[in-house]
Amino acid sequence: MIEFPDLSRNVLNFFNHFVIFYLLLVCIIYLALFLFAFVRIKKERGLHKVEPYKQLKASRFTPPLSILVPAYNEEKGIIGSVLSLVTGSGRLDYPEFEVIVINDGSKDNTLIKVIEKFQMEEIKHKVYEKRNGIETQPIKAVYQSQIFPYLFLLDKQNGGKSDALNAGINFAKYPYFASIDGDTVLEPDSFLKIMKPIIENSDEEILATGGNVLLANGSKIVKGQLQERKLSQKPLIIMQTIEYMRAFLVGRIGLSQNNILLIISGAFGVFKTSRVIQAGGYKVETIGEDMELVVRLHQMNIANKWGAKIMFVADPVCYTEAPERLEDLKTQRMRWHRGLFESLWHHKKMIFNPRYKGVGFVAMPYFLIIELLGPIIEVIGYFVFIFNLLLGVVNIEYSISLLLMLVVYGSFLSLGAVLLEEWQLGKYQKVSELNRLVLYSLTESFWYRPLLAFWRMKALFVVVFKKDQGWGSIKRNGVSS
Amino acid sequence: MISPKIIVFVTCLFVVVLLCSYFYLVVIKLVNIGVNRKKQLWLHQHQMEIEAYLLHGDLNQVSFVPQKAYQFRALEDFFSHYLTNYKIDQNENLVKKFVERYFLSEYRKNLFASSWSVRMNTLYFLDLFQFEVLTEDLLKRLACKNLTSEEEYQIYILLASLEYEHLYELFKLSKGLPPFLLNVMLNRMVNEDNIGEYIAHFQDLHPSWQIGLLDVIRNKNFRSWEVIKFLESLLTAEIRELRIRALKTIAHIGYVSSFNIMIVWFETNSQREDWLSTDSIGERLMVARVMGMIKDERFLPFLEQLIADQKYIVRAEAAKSIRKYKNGKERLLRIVHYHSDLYSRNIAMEWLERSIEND
Repeated sequence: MIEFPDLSRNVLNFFNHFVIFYLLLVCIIYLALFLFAFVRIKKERGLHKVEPYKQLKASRFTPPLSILVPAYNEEKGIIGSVLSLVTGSGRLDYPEFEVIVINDGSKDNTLIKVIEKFQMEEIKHKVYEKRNGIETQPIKAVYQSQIFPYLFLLDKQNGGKSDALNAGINFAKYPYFASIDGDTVLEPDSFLKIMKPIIENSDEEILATGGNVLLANGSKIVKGQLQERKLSQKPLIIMQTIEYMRAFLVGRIGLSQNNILLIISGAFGVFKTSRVIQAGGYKVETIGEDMELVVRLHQMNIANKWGAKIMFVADPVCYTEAPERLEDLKTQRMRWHRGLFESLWHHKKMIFNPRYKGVGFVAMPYFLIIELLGPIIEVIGYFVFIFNLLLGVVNIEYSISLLLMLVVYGSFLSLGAVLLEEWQLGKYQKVSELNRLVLYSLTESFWYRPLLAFWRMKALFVVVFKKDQGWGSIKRNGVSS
Repeated sequence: MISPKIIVFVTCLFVVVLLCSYFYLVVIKLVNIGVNRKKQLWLHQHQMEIEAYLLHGDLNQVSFVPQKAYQFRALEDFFSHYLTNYKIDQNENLVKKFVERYFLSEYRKNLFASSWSVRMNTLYFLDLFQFEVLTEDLLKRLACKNLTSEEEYQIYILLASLEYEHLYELFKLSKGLPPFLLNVMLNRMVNEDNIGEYIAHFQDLHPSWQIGLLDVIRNKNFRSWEVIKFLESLLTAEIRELRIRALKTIAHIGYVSSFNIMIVWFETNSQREDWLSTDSIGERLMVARVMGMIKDERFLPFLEQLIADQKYIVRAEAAKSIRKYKNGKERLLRIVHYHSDLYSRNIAMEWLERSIEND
């Protein structure tokens, strides 16, 4: 055992208590979110998968939708993604819509591929409206498909994803717009499902709804259509699958139930066009543009007393490609963490501000303390644990039993998310896939979680100390063949 | 520090929950797989008989009477698919006859089930099969304390399909329906035969019904003289939304009793103080659309006025309407060359190039 002074021992003891208190807080919050999600999914369990949506599909009163697909260097995924929108089971199962692909100055063949595949023809002398003064980088040309007249392509100078979405919003002609990533593949009925709460809700105005994002890795997708759903064999993908289930089916449903949802995934979300225009569109030069917009909509909703809601809907799903290499995952997670920091920083006045009720007092502090600063506390916890063992400050059996409890608790939440997935979607067809999910969830605390904590902590240091390391790009294989 | 006993207790508790959840998951997965397999197999075994019944309709010869829950669900899905994909004469609806004999008691019971999703599924299937005999049960369900909004809306729509005569009185006592569902409901109630009645009592209707009725007229494309005169009378309504919907419906029908009505309307309303305000965008937009649908040379000066509107959507609609005229291209070309307003010149240029067919 190493000798060390009382002061250091006291400091270590303080950290011990701090970390344990923090862990308890996290456990209680996650348990509360899980219970909210559990109650809602249990209620909806067994609801027919087709009948509730027939009315929307058949009616001419269903509001039309503009689907925005920003694309930057997406030559591998863009054709599959657009095909999943314009064809589907004959055609996307939504009565009236337009698809607007925005090529944000791609350096690869994204533009050429879309023009050739869909026989895009230029609309000359197109006038662009800057709705509510939303400025974007110049648009070089607008095309319309000769095969699918409701498919448009905007070719613009590079300005980032937010800028591309803003160009799409300026061009969109329908009352709601959906933002879809360039490598996302949708199920044919996804839009009917995501629009249902918007259309059939009379009590409150719905500003936005977010859909469920599933991982395409391992599944068979051909020409933008899911042929066979399979769980990947790769540990990194399995861990991300569990993580997505937990984030969407537990976290987002829980927050959404209380109208304090702060994130709608850029991969699949629907927004009320007029309100987003009123809010000034997406904020450019920000990484987490999806979260920033949702927080801003919450802020405006409360400030202007719109009495509106932002919801998560678990049933509509889209498939996206997760990074398969550690390096790509690191790039993605560091970028997400930077986005989280920026969103919270831009709206720091809302944190603990009683004016913003649940958003200011629960959601924003949750994202600040648990999601943003959590990795630092977690990494401190790892070091404290090692010190404790080395210095013999705490009993080794005690430390191990505490660790075991946390592992079991983490696995319980993961398994809970798998259970909710089974109730709500039931996408996995084999017991062996369930077993794999359960088995990997038990290992999470030993490798995946520390890995993410280190990357996220690093991201925080980089963004706070303005150390410009660049944010890199992720290698994609394309989800659809 | 947390007591070690508590840690051990909590760990054990979660281990037990974890194990139970896991076994439950495996069991429901296996059960679901088994049920799906049984459903498919049962349908496959009876497919010929079901098809024979749908051809000949002899209820006494039916050999595929469902006994177990999975058989009911299998048949429901089959009939749902069949009724969605084939147009069936309601009087000859053999599915309805079969379902009425073998499913009705279950549906009646399920309307009051404790599970929300079972009740909702029942309402959706009742909507598919339409049983008048269940009207009383639906009314009883409406009076239940644990009724959710979703159920209430669906019951109103069902009652509309079943032509329940006191629906309007019932509606007035309710908190109303979302606009989309109200339109769906009205769409089922209003037809060529009774539209006259609705028009006659229009002023007495609930405001949401008034708006919805105009949407239904547009959707069902009612084009009688009575409807045209009614829509024209609404052009001077006090409520702006009614004027906008009336214009929208006229634009859809593409007919007015006299062009002068639109000329007088435009001349009068464009003098209004609020005509150029943001609140009036809807009227300016819709009148531009009307003038593109009902083409009369005398409308062109108004459209040239609207092409210089401060709002992009009005300018674009006016340009598109001008493009629809026989000499529209020449008109737009003249605007491109001679109009004093840059925005008008730009939008005219765009519509000179664009085809109206693909828009």
